Parts: sequence; structure tokens; C-alpha cells
Amino acid sequence: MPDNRLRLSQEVEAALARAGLSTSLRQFAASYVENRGKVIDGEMLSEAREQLRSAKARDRREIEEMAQQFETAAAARGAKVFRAGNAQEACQMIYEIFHEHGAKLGVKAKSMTSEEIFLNDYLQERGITIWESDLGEWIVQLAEERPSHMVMPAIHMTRQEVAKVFAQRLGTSEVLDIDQLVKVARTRLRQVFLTADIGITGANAAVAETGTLAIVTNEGNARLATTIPPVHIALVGYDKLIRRLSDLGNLLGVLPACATAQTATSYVTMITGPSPGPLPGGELYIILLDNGRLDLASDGEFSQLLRCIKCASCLNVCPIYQQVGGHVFGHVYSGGIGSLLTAFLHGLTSAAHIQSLCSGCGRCAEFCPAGIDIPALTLELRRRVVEEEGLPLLQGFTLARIVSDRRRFHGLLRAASRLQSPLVSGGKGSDKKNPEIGPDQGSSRLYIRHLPLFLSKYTKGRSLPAIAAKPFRDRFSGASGLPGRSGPSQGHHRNGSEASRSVAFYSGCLVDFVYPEIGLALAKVLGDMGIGMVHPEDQTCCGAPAQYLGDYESATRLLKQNITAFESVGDGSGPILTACPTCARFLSQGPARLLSDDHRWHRRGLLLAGRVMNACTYLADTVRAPGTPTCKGPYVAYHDACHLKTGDRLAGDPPPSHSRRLLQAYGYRVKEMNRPDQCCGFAGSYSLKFPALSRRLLEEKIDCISGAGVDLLAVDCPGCLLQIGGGLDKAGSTVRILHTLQLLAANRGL
Amino acid sequence: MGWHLFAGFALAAEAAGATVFSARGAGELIESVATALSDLRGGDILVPSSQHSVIEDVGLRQALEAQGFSVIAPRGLSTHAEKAPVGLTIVDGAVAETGSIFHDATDHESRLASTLPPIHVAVVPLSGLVRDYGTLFAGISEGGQPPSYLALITGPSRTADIERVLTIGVHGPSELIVIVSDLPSLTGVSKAAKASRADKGQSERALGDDTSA
Repeated sequence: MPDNRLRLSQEVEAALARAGLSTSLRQFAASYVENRGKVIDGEMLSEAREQLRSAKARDRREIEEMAQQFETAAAARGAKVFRAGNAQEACQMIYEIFHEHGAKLGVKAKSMTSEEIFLNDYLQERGITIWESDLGEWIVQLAEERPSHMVMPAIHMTRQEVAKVFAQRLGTSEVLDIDQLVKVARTRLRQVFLTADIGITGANAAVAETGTLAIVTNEGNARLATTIPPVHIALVGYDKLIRRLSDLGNLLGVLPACATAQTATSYVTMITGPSPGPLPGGELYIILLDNGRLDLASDGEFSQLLRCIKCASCLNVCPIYQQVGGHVFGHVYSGGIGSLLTAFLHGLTSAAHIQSLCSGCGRCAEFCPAGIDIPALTLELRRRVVEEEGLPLLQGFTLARIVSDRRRFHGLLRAASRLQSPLVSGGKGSDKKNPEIGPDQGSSRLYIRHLPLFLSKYTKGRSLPAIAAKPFRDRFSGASGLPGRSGPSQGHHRNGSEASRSVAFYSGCLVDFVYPEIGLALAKVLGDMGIGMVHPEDQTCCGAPAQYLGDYESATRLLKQNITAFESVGDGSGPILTACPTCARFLSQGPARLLSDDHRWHRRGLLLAGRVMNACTYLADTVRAPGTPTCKGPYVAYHDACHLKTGDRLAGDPPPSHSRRLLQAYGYRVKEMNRPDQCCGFAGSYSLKFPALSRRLLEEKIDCISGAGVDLLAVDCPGCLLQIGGGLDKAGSTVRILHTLQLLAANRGL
Repeated sequence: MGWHLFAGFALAAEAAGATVFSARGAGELIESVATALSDLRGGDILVPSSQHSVIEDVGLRQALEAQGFSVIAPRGLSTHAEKAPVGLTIVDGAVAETGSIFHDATDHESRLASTLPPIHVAVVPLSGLVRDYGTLFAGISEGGQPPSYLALITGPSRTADIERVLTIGVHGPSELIVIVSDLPSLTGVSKAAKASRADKGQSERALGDDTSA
């Protein structure tokens, strides 16, 4: 176990060090999003999701019915249909077909399913030659590597690398441009097509109603592989079954749109039974492969994976994939979806370490045409991995023993605040360009710029903020100058006790112990509007970090403590505001997921969930522009927090522009930077697990910020503030980063 | 017989890299083929055997031979077939929305003629033009069983597998020339062609005639 984790970490570092890999993947990612937007919009995407839901099986019973229907229909048209339970069976069946036909040479069109069962190795060990005919697959085969992307197998290689591989294996010149390389492929593989005994393909869809296989390519290789050799073997996973021929209309539209940003691929081949070719013979064998798919179909949580059409949208938009590529972030199937599929197709152990690479930013779910909730399933997979293998020792100890005991945890943080002093170095002082934003608002803060010895990697590229001398809970209870605030009563601290209405505040660990000024800013902004704020003292860590590590037991315990803490505020209703989108998301989504076994807790949890809101959402929804918008205010750029932007199912959840509008209403001029919604790389403990990867994402973020030409950066998440603030400090940047709430308070002179 | 879907089809097909002609009557069909192949100095043209009589009836074969081409059938896997610079097939129809052509390719000769040579000339009967995939598949389903080998072709063969650079002509043709012809004798007899008949009334109602090319 520790060996695997260490190896993964080393692979990550090696991938990051590989020049050009990340650059080319990122360039692709940028052009992908732009080009895809030209062929499919949000409306078409939700229509496509709807249709995919109705086209594909929902559970095991349906998938078995569809398989039966397909088999009957295809057999009626003369195809020979077999079922393979696992990889070994499928390989053996294919070998036997070769043997029966005395076949020695096979030509294969691209099939990820054949990669999944390691078919080439199996056949080659038994004296059969298989040539890949998809250009990318052929390159990868010649290079003796494996595909790093489901749609573009050789995306990790440069043209020079390809030319070198061709030179070594085929004796061609070492300096060939892309056109020439493609010509080499055409000429060499044409000979293979003309002499192959058997063509092997996968299928993008298998129509249950008619027994039809649909195969999509751009190169035309599947067309040749199913035309010239007299025998055709199609290896088809159960997940490829769709109900009706008419379902192909949607699939053939959405697949190229999402896979390659095309309205249509060059070739779609739809085969129903064998058709005679130029050579005598003519057989069609179809092997329906289970290999874990039926278990998947029986699993209430994961059966939605059957809707995956292998378009690789999720890889194309994944910030982690862009940094390390599919060889590190994946097994046979790569990226987030890959780690989920791997768990079922190759076993939980194979997936255990790959899934840990997901930072939980949630971007993949936005783009998935099958509507698969990859981030939520990744958390569920992590839970199962932890259930099976346990937490790493130190993390397990911290979570179970310390964090979930509020007094002990908070006591420890207070002690840390005193002990850190030798490491802390001083802040930047007040902002000369924007003097109205006082020294209390953030960047004057203290940072830990270097940690000693083995801990140094955590402050490489990023300073860590020092733990506040006095946590929010103490400052709020002892603060003066808050309108009408009173001392603590019944364990709650409040401001504005004279106000006509009041709201509760859930501070979360980072605001409470690192950034108390954010909570104070909210109290001031609310007070300015005549709204009181209450901070129940018994609240504790929301539980999200525990859930992200797969420790559901600790997460549940923390959630219950927070439910109790907020039930005693007022009459147990009314909004609970947070200044941290991750806390908000967990408090609003956690109860339904974690407490469903216990009827009473579940009900209490759902009440809490219904009350939680992001503070900026509340302000934007509740309040009209408090000041006169001015077009002369300071320029500010805005960074979108992953958990505010995506997968956030809070009622009244803001679109990304919500905080931007609020900032404008308070007199700021918002200037967009490049890729404002790209993850900053914090992702909670992720930045500690994969510091090098997190650092790379941060460096890119800092570049985007520097390019925006602003003095101020607003964020809505204290995690982003910690990460980006630390990066700016380390880079010696003059840009000041503040929470949106701090900026609102500052421009009202509060 | 309406041309109302043609403009949309031509736009989509050319965006996918095809060259599109419209041909009214036999004269324009022959002229379009001649124009499309004017850069070549003769050579073999692969035409499926089953279509030889049709191209002869409309006078296309004679015109091609006058231009120096010899029309041959891609029987078996002769070197002739492998080396021919052009393949010509009469397909069943086209999909306006995506710019795709479709054909019942159960006859392997039509597959070889449209895949092996570097240039593919596809003659599409105007009556086979449908609006979108939905109409196409509804038409096929209506006809009962789909053909054994149904193919959609959109633009030339392409790849972006090396550094995502678009490169044309990998395993299939590097040039796709589509000629939409209103000659009634070209209308296919295959099941795929039925889709067009099912679609006709519907698409005319939906689009009107103002989009005629």
C-alpha cells in the first residue's frame, strides 16, 4: 500500500517534469472547450443527456433483457453471438476463432474494450500478429506503450517522438513532418488490410432492437477492417447496448460533438449481420463482454456509469489530466471516469490510488454528455476504498481522534498559533494604491514562508498563512464597534441583537482560525444592512475534509454535532450563511447522503441542509445595491471557486456571475482574467497529498492573475484564498487577494 | 422534387471538407463529374458492377471514357482496384444537417469503390436528401430491418492523432466530391432510400421552399 502511494507520487513528479506534455494537453484543453462550444450548447447537452438515459439500460435486469434481444436479432441476421464473462474468456474465444479459420494476421480498428482485456498480448503470445490500424493506436503499439487517452491514444507524444519511433521500427527517415508520417501509415497499413485474415473492431453502440453494431471512425479504418478480411470479430461491452435504432440519431450527434468537437465523424459503419466481402467466406462474430459490467449494473450508486459513451470529455476538461496525462491518471481507461470504471473492470485495488488524484473540482460533471456525477462517485469510491483498506495511519488518527473532538481540535489550533511564531514572517502592510482597503483586510497578514526539513515541500511555491493569534469566535465575542452587539448568551455570539432580523453564521475552520477577518467583514456588511448575525459556539469542522479522505464515520459525527449546534439558534429555522463554498456544499448535500440510515437524524439533517447558503448568494438575493454603482471604482479580478461554480445544488445557487454582480453593486470594476474557473490546486488536503501537482496548478493560476492587470483579486473560498494568497506572496506579487466579503466591507468603509 | 434541403446540406458538407455540386439533368451531372476530375489525365475509375448500366443510361460512362478514363468494377482485390485513382458510386441519399451522405453498402464493391481510391465521387439522388439523423433512422425503422451494411460518410478520411494536427486522407479518400442530381433514375432501390420518401412531406412542411438553392 504505502509502496503504491509512493510510486504514484513519483509518477506524478515524473509526468510534471516531462517537457511539453502538460503544455500540449493544456493547449488541447483550451481549444477543446472553445470548439466544442461551437457544435453543442447547454440546451443540446441536456437534451442529449435525457435521450441517453432513455436509450441505455438502467439496471442489471434491463441490461440482460437488452443483451438477449440483441443476441436474438443479430443471430437472426446471421451473426454468431457469444457471451464472455471476463477478459480471459473473451481472449480465449477470439483466439479460438483465429485458430478455427487458420488465421495468423489480424487487423484491428480502435477498441478500448480490447485494451481492457489485453487482447493483443494474449494473441501475440500464441503466435498471432495483430496490427492496430487507428493511427494513434498504431503509434502507441509501435512505441510499445499504451494509450493515454480514450479518443486520442498518442496525445502524449510529439511529432518528433513519433518520427523517431517510425525510424526505429520501420526504418523511415528520422525527420518526417506530420503529413509524411500519415502517408507512411496509409501505405504500410494498406498492405496489412489487404492481407489480414480477420478484422477486429469494437463498437460504439449495439442496437438491441435490430442487432446492429455502429462503429464510428474518422480515418476509415473500421470500414476497411470490416470489408476486406473475410472474417469480422466485434468485441462489445454490455454497456454499449442501446434500445432502438432511432437512439442512434442522438448518439451519432453527441459522441463526435463531445469527443472531437465535430458535428459528425467521417465514417459511421452500421452492421447488421455479415455481408459478403471481396474474398470468399464471410463471417461475423460478436462477443458481448461482461468483465464487471453486470456488477456495475447491479450497483445502485455506480450503474449510471453504463451510460458512459467513452467520449473523453471528462479527461479533456480535467485540470489534473492536463498536468500529468493518462498514463499517470489512469489504468486502461484514464481520468476520473477511468478510475471509476477501473474499480469495476480491473478491481478496487487497481483503482484505489488513481482515484486519489481527483481534486474534486467537479468540472467533468459539467461537461459529461451522459450526466454522470463523476465527482460524487469518486467520493463514494474513496469511501469504499477506505472501508476496505483503511485510512493512512496519520490521517486516520488526526481525523478520528482530533478533528472530530471539537474542544481538542480547537485547543490544538490555539496552541499551534503560539508555537508557529519562529516560522512566521511579516505581511506587506497596507495597500498604497487602494488605501481605503485597510491593513486589516488580508494581505497584511503573516505568512509561513518556509517549513523545515521534510515539510519544506508544503511551502515550496506557496507560503502558508499563519494561524490567527485570536480565532474568529474570540474576536467576534469580544468585538466592539459592531452595531448593537451583545456579549455571549447561551453559547452563541451575536451582533445586531437589536436588528429586526438575524442570520446564523457557520464559519468553518479556515475562517475561524486562519481568516477571522472574513467573518468579521460579513458581520459588518450585515450590520450595515440592519441584519444581525449569530455564531453558535458549538459548531465545528463541517466534515468535508473527512469525506474527501473517505472517512465517513468522522464526517458523520461532525455533521451531527453541527446539526445540534444550529438547531438551538433562534427557532431552528432561518438562513445559515457560510463564507466557504466547500463547507456550504457539504452541509447542504452531506445529510441526504450520510444520514439516510437514521430516520431522525436524516430529518434533522435535511432541515439544516435547507438553511445553508453561501453568504454572497444571500447578499445578492436579499439586498438591493447598497451603494451607488460607480464606474470609477478599483479594478478587481474574480476567481471562481470550484465548489461554488459546479455541482452546487443549493437553492438559489448563484451562477458564476453572482459575486461579480455583487462586487459591481459595491462599486468595483470587475475585469476578467484568463480561465477564471480553472482550479487553483488547493482542494483541501489534496495540496498536501500531491504538493508538486498542486503547485503547478497554482503557478498557472498566478500567471492568469498577473496577466489580468489588476491590483485586486476577489475569491469566495478561504481555501482558494490560502492557496492563491500563498502563491502571490511567494511570487512577490503586488496583487492583493481578499474574500469578496472583505471587499464589500472595505468599500462601504466598514 | 425540391431543392429546399440542398443549401443546408452543401454548407454542412463543405464545412466537413467535401466539395459539393448541384446538377440539374444529365447534362449538368456529366459536366460536374468532368469538372471535378479535370486535374486528372485519365486512369481507372472504380464503379460497382451493379451501377454500370445506370451510368451508361445517363451517358456518364461514355463521357468519362471520352475524357480518358476506363470504368472498371472493383472485383476481388485486383491490383487494378488497389491502384485506381478514383471511385465513383451512386449513393442512396444525404443528411442536410450534418452534411453526410449515406448508402446501403451491403454490396462490397460499393464499399471498395468508396474507400480504396484517394478520390471518391458520390452521386446523390436529390430525392434521397433528408433533414437530419432523426428522419433517416425513422425511415429505416419504418422499412423494417436495416440493411446489412449501412454507411454514413461525412467529408474525407481524416486524423488528428499526431499533435492534434488535422491531416486529411489516412485510410480512406483524401477527397470527397458530392454531386446532388435530380435525375429520377438514380434513386436507389435499397431500404435506406426509403427514408427519403418518408421524410419528404414532413421536411417540406417544416422548411418551406424559401431555402431552395
